[in-house]
Amino acid sequence: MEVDFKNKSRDFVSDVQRSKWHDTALWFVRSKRDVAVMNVDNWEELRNQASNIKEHCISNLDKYLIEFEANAKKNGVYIHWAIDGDEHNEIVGKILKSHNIKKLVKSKSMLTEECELNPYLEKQGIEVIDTDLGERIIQMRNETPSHIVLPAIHIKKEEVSELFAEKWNTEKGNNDPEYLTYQARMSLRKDFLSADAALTGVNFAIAETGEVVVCTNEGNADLGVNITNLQIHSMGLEKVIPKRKHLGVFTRMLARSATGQAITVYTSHFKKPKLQGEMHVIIVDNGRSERLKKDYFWTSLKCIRCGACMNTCPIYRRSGGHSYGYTIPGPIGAILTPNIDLKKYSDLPFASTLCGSCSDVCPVKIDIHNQLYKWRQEIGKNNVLPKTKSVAMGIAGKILEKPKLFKFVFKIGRITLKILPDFIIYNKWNNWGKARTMPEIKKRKNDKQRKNIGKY
Amino acid sequence: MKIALSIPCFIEEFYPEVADSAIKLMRKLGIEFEIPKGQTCCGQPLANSGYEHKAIGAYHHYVKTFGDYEQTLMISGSCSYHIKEHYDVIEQTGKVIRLRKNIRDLTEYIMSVYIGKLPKVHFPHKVALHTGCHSLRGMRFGVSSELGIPTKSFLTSLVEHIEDIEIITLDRPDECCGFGGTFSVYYDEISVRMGSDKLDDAVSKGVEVLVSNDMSCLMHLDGIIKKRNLPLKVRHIMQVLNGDKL
Amino acid sequence: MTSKEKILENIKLSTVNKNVILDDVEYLYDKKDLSVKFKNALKSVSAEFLIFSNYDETVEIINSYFPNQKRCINTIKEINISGLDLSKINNPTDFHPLDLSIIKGDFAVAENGAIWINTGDLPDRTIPFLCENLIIIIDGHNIVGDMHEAYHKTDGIDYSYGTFITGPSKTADIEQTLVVGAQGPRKMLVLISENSFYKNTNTKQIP
Ligand code: SF4
Repeated sequence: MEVDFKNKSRDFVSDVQRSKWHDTALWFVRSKRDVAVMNVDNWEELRNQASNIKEHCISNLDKYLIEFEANAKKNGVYIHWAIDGDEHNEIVGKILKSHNIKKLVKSKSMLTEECELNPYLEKQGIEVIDTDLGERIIQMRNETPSHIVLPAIHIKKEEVSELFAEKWNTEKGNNDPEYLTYQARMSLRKDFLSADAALTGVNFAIAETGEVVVCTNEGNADLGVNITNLQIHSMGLEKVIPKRKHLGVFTRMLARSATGQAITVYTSHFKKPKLQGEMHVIIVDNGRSERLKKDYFWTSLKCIRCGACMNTCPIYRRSGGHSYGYTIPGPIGAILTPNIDLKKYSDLPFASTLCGSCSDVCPVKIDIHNQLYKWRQEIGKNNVLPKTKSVAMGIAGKILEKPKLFKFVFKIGRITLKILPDFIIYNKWNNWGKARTMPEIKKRKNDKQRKNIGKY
Repeated sequence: MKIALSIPCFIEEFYPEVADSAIKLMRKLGIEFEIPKGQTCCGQPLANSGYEHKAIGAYHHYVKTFGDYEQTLMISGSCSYHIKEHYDVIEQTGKVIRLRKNIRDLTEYIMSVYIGKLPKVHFPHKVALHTGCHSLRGMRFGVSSELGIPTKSFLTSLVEHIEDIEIITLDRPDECCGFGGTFSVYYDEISVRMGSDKLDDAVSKGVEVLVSNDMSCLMHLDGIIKKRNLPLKVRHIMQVLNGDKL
Repeated sequence: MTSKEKILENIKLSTVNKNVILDDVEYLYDKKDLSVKFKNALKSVSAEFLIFSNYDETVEIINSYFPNQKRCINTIKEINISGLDLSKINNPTDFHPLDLSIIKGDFAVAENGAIWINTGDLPDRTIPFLCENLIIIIDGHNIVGDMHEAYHKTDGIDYSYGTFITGPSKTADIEQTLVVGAQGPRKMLVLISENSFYKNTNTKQIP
């Protein structure tokens, strides 16, 4: 089934109160980000460096992955390679089985969302608890995240309160975020204490030292990993960077871009397992090396998943993350998804005005809006849009070549619907008129009159 | 130097008065120019809809119309951006290269060359300025609010000399208006909400006129203003600079 | 072919025509007003701080700041506060509930308030995370300007697990309302020593 952004976003935006609130909440994050960024002397220079490091690394990915693996192994870490999401899940399942694990605590990892790890493990009888507050909320609601950094941004505190009251018997009608967060803390504490393995995502993996770096605010990743004896870190293969010193660039940028903090509360460097513990890192491809093949689009692999492009996107803010129908929504999602299935996600690259705000906000300088434009051409060329649209475009193209016909259509087309129905369908002028008046066609001065205007 | 004035298709049909004001202002400034016959459209609506390959004919027609001029001035940041940025898919003949290099948004051209020489005009109104996104982030007229350097609107410097104008800054001064070409009809609900949000902010701040260098943004906003009966007007910056009364 | 071979093979095919050279960047480290900047950064991350001049003072500060901390882990021998007997506990879950942890920070970062903890060297890795209240003691003379310098300073250090901790844990997952105290400590106090007394920290000294 194709993702129907058009209808889903319409539903979201037609709940005026909620969509305005969503827009305001995310704009607030964008504003905090602006302040944090202006506090850095050389932000634009940092962006250049971040982009350069990532591009260099991605264009030498095999070399750095091999180096990372070798160094991690020296540290006593087990390294696994997964070609796709299924293999990733199998690997996690096997590791857990071999240790007879019954309960896994997970900190935020978009990769495991991408691989749909939770349902896989649950089928095997393993209890999985998402320990990031936002993730826990959506897990309890049986939903997917609507934002990669703020997974529960679409949910109101009243709904959280209701949910907690139902599941945990908390005070009904107490909507105070502080109270609700404390209740979640109490519940999650029990989960931490009874878990026997932990899984985290990875923000950066360092080739030079074989360590993985995890950036969080809540303390859930570190609690989980340290309380249990078995730690698993799942990473997309693009997460590797050459040297530790490059962390200086990225740790300065990630949290500022994501939430407007100067750095996350915890920036944890996991290098070796604890004394009686085991540490596993799973390197996941899942289509990434294919993406790397694409001449123009490969730079989307630079993404450090800060979410800034979502917060800044005027369309995302008014459409909600679920309208995108993929784990990674927003502008970056719209340039990642066509790699996966051009037809299924063909609506997404069009869900943009190409205003370019995403490209300017992106800490690693992915030219997102240009890629959106290019994806549109791929979609057009491969004819994965409905046929009628394509025919209409052909006619429109012909019209633009011929000035006389063009003038004719412009003047007559709008009024006499019957003459060129395809052109009208393509233009969907009827949609224009629902909440906007049509511009009036005015008689312009002829060339001779024009020659004389402004002449004294 | 042989200069051509390029009038975007929708201005020609819907807002000819904007073209007239531009022509008047150019003549006041002593700019010699021609208006080539047979202008159609730069092809942007097609290309932005994923049909670049069907817009090639329009591209060639545009090159045929303007390729002989040393300088093409267009009354649109967005269309001139499209030609600069996306006419790379046709054969790069001498004409194409020159056109892409030398095409400029008329507003930006006037700002760069004639900033101190603009006629003295009055515009005693509360004004909010809106730079089209392609002008701001595509062509870098001004500095967008995302960059880690102080923001700058290029329109401000153009109207600063108008004594009785009152410039009002919106809450999100460079957020997109929601037009986006065919986006405005494909995703009309989101598009209208974006425009409405901007207009609501303007109304709440007592703005009377929205002024832009991009008539397409204004066409969209004006459609909403009229439908909702908001106490706002839109004006192209050429009209303001030429001294047109509201 | 194993998955590893397949992946690496595919990457090789993909990157043949790409090779972006890594720029060599030199950083000029910020050396100005680091102490002031650090303290401001602490304030902005909801961490509290106090200055002290000798260890005896710290006991008083800690007792008045966090009175009635029944279950406490103190990893600093110079501070005369008794806590749980770690030698009798072999599972971190047995620490729970933990009122207070007192640990040493190796150095601090002025631009953001981060403090580097060689967490792998602690008697147990959960100590800074499981507690309700966290006290980190740092040498006020051991502050670097920014993260570039911080990574330079920890370069080549052999740690098994190291963490930059920046304030108490927090979340804004419910309606973007900031709540201090998520899953980790709910309060954090930084005790900044006026005198330089970490002669042999595990980090490189920068001249
Ligand atoms: S594309 Fe850029 S802005 Fe968007 S999430 Fe990735 S790194 Fe952040």
